[in-house]
Formats: sequence, C-alpha cells, structure tokens
Amino acid sequence: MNNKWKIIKTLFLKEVCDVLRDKKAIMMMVFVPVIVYPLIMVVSMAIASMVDGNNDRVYDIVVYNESSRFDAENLENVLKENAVEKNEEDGSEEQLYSINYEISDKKISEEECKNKIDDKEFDAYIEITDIDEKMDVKAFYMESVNESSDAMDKVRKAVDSISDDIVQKNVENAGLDTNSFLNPISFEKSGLSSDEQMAGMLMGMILPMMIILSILISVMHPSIDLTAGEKERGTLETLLMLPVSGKYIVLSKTLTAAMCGVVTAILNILSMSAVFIIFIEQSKIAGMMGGFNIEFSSFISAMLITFPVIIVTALFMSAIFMCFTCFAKSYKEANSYMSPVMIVLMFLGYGSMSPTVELNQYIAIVPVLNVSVLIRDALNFKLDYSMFLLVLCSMVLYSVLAILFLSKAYNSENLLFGDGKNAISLFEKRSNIKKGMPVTIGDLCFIFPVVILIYFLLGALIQAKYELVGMPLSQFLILVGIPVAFFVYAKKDLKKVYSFNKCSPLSLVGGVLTGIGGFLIASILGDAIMKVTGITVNERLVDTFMKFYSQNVILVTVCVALTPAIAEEMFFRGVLFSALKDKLKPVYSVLIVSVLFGLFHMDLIKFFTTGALGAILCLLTYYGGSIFPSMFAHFTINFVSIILTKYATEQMAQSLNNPVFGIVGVAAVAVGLFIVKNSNKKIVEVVSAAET
Amino acid sequence: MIRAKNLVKTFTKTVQKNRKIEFNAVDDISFEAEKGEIVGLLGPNGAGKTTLLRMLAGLMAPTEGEVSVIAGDGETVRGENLKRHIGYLSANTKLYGRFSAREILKFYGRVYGMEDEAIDRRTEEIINVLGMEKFADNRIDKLSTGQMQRASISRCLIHDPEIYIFDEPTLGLDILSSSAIIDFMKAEKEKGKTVIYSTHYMEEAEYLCDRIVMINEGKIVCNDSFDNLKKDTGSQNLREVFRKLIENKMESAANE
Repeated sequence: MNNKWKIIKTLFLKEVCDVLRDKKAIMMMVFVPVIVYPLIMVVSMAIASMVDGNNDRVYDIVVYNESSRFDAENLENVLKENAVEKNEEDGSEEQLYSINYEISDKKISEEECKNKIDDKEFDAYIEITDIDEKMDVKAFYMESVNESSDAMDKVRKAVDSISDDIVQKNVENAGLDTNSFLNPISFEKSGLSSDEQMAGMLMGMILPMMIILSILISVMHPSIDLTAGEKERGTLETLLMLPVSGKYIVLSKTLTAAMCGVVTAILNILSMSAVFIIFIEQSKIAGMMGGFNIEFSSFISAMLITFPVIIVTALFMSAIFMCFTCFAKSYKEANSYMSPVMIVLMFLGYGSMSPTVELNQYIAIVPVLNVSVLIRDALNFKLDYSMFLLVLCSMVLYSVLAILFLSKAYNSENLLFGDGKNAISLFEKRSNIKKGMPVTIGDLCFIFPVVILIYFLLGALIQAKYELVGMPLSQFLILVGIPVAFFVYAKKDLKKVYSFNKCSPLSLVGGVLTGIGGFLIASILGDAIMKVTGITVNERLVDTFMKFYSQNVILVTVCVALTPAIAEEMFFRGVLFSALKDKLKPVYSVLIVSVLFGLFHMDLIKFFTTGALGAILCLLTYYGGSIFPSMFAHFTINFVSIILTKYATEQMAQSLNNPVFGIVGVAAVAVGLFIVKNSNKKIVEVVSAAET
Repeated sequence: MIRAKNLVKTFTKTVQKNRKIEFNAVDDISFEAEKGEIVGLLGPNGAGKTTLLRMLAGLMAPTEGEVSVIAGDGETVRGENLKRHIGYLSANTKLYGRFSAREILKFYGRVYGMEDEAIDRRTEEIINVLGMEKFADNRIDKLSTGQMQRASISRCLIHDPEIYIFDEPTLGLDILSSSAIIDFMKAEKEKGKTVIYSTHYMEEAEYLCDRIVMINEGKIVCNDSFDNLKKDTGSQNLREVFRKLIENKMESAANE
C-alpha cells in the first residue's frame, strides 16, 4: 500500500477507535437509532391505536326541538345506530362509541352553551326550529375541543342521513324512480397506485427527513470531539508533532465523523424498517390492513440508491461541521457555533415533506435539500439517474471544498495556538468583555444566520404588509437594528465595526462613478446570462419591483435606492467585510461577501449580477478605507435602475446591453476605484500626520 | 545537533480600540545544542520560551531565520522533516485518555513508518527504561500525574529521535516522578542524545544542564556553562544568576 494511504489508514483507525470508546458517541450512534427511535415509533403507534380503538368514549348530546315536524327520537335512533359497526360477513356487531342523548325543554343561550361544553356537561347542543317550509338544525359546538368537534361530526352525519331518507320518501311519493332521480350520475374512483407506491409515497415523506436528522445528530458529536474537543483535551499539539501533513489529519477526522453518520443512518433505516414490517405483518394477521399488501423487496433498489447518498451526506456534514468547530477552543464553544448550522441543515432536510419541491438541476445543487428530495423520489419509484449523479457529484464537490478549507485551517498557527479570540461575544459575561475588541469569526457565525433568518421571515412579512414602506422598515429594523444591538451589548466600537471612517468628497465622486460602471456591467452580465441559459429573472420579483417603481419617484428613491444603500452596505460591507478583511486574505473576504450578497437577492440571475456588484462594493470599501464610497455607489446603482425603469423606453433600456457599454462600465469602475484609492491615501497621510 | 539561526517570530496583538500592534515574541535568537549535550532554556513567563521551542520542534514556522538538524549520518534536515528527528514534549502535549500507553506507542510508531515488529521491540525497551510495566496497558485517563508524564515521554521516544525538546516536563510532579525523568535524561545524554530542556526549577537546571541559555523579551540574555555564569555574575547558584541577569534587567528597564 502506498505510504500516504498507510498513514491515512493509521490515523483513521486511531480516530475510529477513539470515537468508539466514547460512551456519548456510542449513545448517539447505536442506542438512539436502534432503541430510542423505534421505541418512539412503537409508543406513538400504540397510543394511536389506543385512541382509535377506544370504544368507551361517550358523546353527550343535548337537543332542543322547537320544530313540529322534526322527529327528535329518530335522530337519537340514527345516532345510536351509527355508533355500532356491523360485520356483513358474520353478522357480528361492534360498539364503536356511545351516545348519551338528552332532549331539553329549555333553550340554551350561546354563552351558556359554551360554558357547559367547557365544563364538560355535554359535547354538543342541537337546536331544531321550523323556518317556513324547512326544518332548521343548528349545532353548537367548540372547534377547539376534540370531543365537541367529534360529536358535531356525528350529528351532521345523522342529520344528513335523515335528510336523505326524507328526500327518498318524497321522491317515492311523487312516483319517480329514486335511483335515477337521486343519483343521475354514478361516480366510481379506481386508484391505480400499487400498495408499494402508496407505501413509498408515505415513506418518501418521512424517511429522508429521518435519515438526514439521524446523520446530523450522530455526526455532530464526533465532529466537535475530534476538533474542539481535541484542542480542549490538549492532544492536538501531540498529534501535530507527527511528521504528517494537516491534510491527512483532516481527512482521517472527516472520514471518522462521516462513518459515525453512515452507521447511524443505516442502523436507523434497518430498525425503523423492522418496526414497520413487524407492524404490517401483525396487522395482516389481525386482518386490519383491509387487503393492503406490500412486497418489501420492491424497495431494495431504492435502498441501494440511498446508500451512496447517505455516504456523501455524512461526508458533507462532517466536513461542514468541522469547518465551524475547528475555530472553537472548547466543546461548549463549538456547540454554540453548531446551533445555527444545525437549524439551516434541518430546514433543508425537511424538503421531502413539501410536494412542490421537485428535483431539477437547481435543487440538485442545493446541499441536503437535494438529498432529501432524491431519497423521496427513489422511494416513489420516480428516480432520474442523471439527477442522482448530479446530486452525488455536487455533494462530493462541496465536501472536497470543505476538506480543503479545513486543511488550510489545520496549517494555521493562529487557529491551533490562538487565544480563543473566535468566541461569540453574546455568550460571554458582559463584565468580562473588553471594550472595543474586533468582531470575531464566532460573532459573524452567530449574527449572520440570525439576521438573515429573521429578515426572510419577519422582514418578508413586514414587506408584504406595508409594501414599499415595509422596505426601509424591515431593512433598518433587522439589517441595522439587530447587529447594532448585538455590538452595543458586546461593547464593540461601532465606528470600526462599520468602517465609518473619514473620506474625501472626491472619493464619494469615485463611488458614484464606480456605481455607474457597476450598473452597466451588471446589466450586460444579466442580459448575457439570460441569453445563454434561457433563464429569466423571477417574475414575482419583477412584478413587486414594478409595483414599487410605479409610485412617487421621491418615495421610491428613499425606499428602494437610499435604504438598501445604507442598510445593506452596513450589514454586508460594514459588519461582514470589515471583520473578514482583518482575518482573511482580501481576495477571500471579497469572494465570501459577494457570494453571500448574491445569495441574499434570492434569484439565480440576480445572484450573478448582485454578486459581481457586491465584489465591486467590497473593493470600494477596501481601497477607500471607509464604507461611505460604497454607500454612494450602491445608491447610484439603485437610483439609475429606478430612473431607467420609470422613464426610459424599452429601446433605450435594450441599447444599454451593447458590449460597448460593458467596456465603458469596466473603465468607469477602474477609474472610480483609482480615485477612491488615491484620495484615501491622502486622508491616511493627513490623519497620520495629525496623530504624530 | 540542532541549530537555531537568527530566529524571529512576529505576532500581531490587538489592543484596545481595535488597534493592532506587531511584536517579536522571539527576536533574532541563534544558538546550537551539540550531540550529547543538555541545554537548559530558562526565562521568566512570557519570555518567548514556548514559541522558541515550538519553532525548534517544527510546530511553528519562524517569521525569519531557520532551524536545522544535523542528523547522525551528517545530513542537514530542515522544514517538515525536522519532526522525524525530534521528540517534543510540553505542558500542552497531552495523551489520548481513551487509549493505553502501549496502544499510543503503536499508533505513533506506525505513523513514523516503523514496522510492527520494530514497534513492539522498541515499546518493550521504553516501558522497561521508564519503569512503566505496571501501567502500560491501563487507560491514560486512569493514570496518576506522574505515570501520565512518563507515558507522555514514552511517546517522544518511540521513533528513537536524536534530539529531545522538553518544555517543563516535571511541572506539577512529585520528587520521585521528577527524579525518574531527570535520571532518564541524564542516561539519554550519555547515549549521545541532544536535549533542550526548559524549566522554572533552577535546581533541576543546575543539576542537569551542561549549558544555560537564558532569554528575556524574546532575546538571548546569556548562553554559557553554569560555572562560567557563576563566575561572571559572582553568584552562588543559578537562582542568583537568574535574578541578577533577568530580574535586575527588568527592574532597570522599568526605571528607565
């Protein structure tokens, strides 16, 4: 065996052995999937069958009959008949529930009725009156009380049945043929899905989520233990004394955590399938399944396809988890980093539950969501093998990228011997927080997902309710308000956090020029992508903005141009870029912030155009040493877009897609950046001279 | 033999108001440790000892300068390969609690590319030399502090390195355990091994070291034999030498 692989194998076996001797890991890996999950399933099935089979239930129904024609005793008989199920084959009878029927001679008010249902004196109150030629039956019940709702259903069924009888009698009395008169069209449904397909559909909704959840839980502990745990125990330095590359160490750790995920997921599938098969077989013996007959061997191919998917998912999750946990100094700190990551991954894992999410070339590259939908399709016998390959390849690619990042991290002295400056300030005791310290990676890992999540949930709600005005409301409240509150608590220097540094009027002009250039580049880039791929910008998004743009130009400028220029710049170029540029190489910081800025716009075309603009705005902040030039540039981009949409003709807008404007755009950006860079130099010189 | 040539390690420190300053934890340090020599590395807390030792062991890359090892066969080794010739132990290097010392030695031996038979042979030798027979198969987390430290030392020996770098190996140990470690180092020196030994216990350094290198604020303060240092400073013991060279200097720097 090649020496390299021999070393990786030795490191891997050592890590596996270490994890297998850890009781906590065994609990998560074996005990939970083999014992806990099936137990939960058995108990919930038992509870469900207990509820279903509970024939001691008594429904108390009170009737007040004012009608001269309605036969209240007949209603009682029908209700009691419906409570008994007759077996037509052997003539036996089974009491499903009981009815306690009482005819009241006093009318009850709605308020009194509500109180009596609340006090469980009865479940439903029926009031019967005559209105002209018709009998009117009113059922009073409480929707929020299960027994009351059930009682109402039973009354409804009985009244319908009585009504049908009356109609039938009337038709007969009129001398008509009841069958052709009452049922002029016969309808019969004939389900074509096999029992396996029905079972596959049900399993396809639940199983992918269960698999992803079990991988998540089982991978989390070893990922933390093998990175932050190792640092906490002091064995990391011992390990690094070995004459092996950080890449091998990272690979062995990732494979170990992934192995835990794979073992757990397989044990989970086996244990859940065993419980499911036993349940089906028991039901067959008891004759409860009503001819529902499943051939379990038909799911073997789906399971075989699921297996490689489980491996790549576990690999992806362990690599991603470790990318976060390797920054932590202790198990506790790593746990706090994991919370937002877990929430995002779990959210993606629920994809299989939504029937509207279909596996296409876009979903296939969204990690975890792709796996969830793929397993669902495999269980539904609808697997597209090209999608299967795309999912596998994309997950492997993400894992490799994460492992490469981790390898870099494991060669970083700051990460290995640093003094824990990555901790999240919110979890520190406030009196222990030093005033004016820089924003940490931990702070960013916490604040970014929290703000984005709130923005897309609460912000979307505010924008839907208040439309145009909702834009500044949501952006200032969430993108600015939450981070500012966090940084004030963490005693950060807001001027530094947001790069609110002095800049010359000339650099603002440079910002405006860069904005114009950026707009031209983004416009041509968007047009080119649309032409090449045939994809268009999300119509709903376009409609929303067109609706906004149709309003007063000053209001639109304030809400759509000025607000994002301040709020989005403060969040992306302020919080994110200003913190990252001190910790990473400028190129990586620009790349990360532009990708996140592109994703923030939630559209494939906009991802590329706003991503490119995000990069230009980051460069402005970087060269300008201040956030103000990028704010001016952002405002210019949005403002030009509003003016063109409102006042330019279609022909004028189209002419902007001429490649010449692209060259003009690039030149404008270059000149703008040059101006900003040079005017910043002068400012720095003046400030240094003043300080000296 | 191990040679440090003009070693510099620069770190960035964030002070209040997000201001960053650069400082040299190790500032232009050069010295050599010969074959069969024990060199004591002394200095106050924060002098840069651990950073220097990490650079010597190949755990940290120097900002400037170079570390090289002249191996037994005369070959000069630099960079990543240094680790193959060095056994490094510091207060921060702990062992895997869920393994026994014997299992750890097997794992380290395999990563160093040794054959299983050679590992077993070497393991028995080490267990014998360090008196670990009674606890070699017990889990590390069940051992006493002294036993754990002996197990840690055994980890440094498995690949039979030419150079040992020990950063406070007797810290927190009782007299019996620390004596065993000191005796072991004496014996290794007799075998021609090079030892760089950092400690805060002056008596230990006095007894063990052939030469003393004292550093303060990242710079070498003295590099000489104990006898010469005593003569030069007119001191009775190493504790006095240390106080005269380091403490007085720190006081005069504070007065300035």
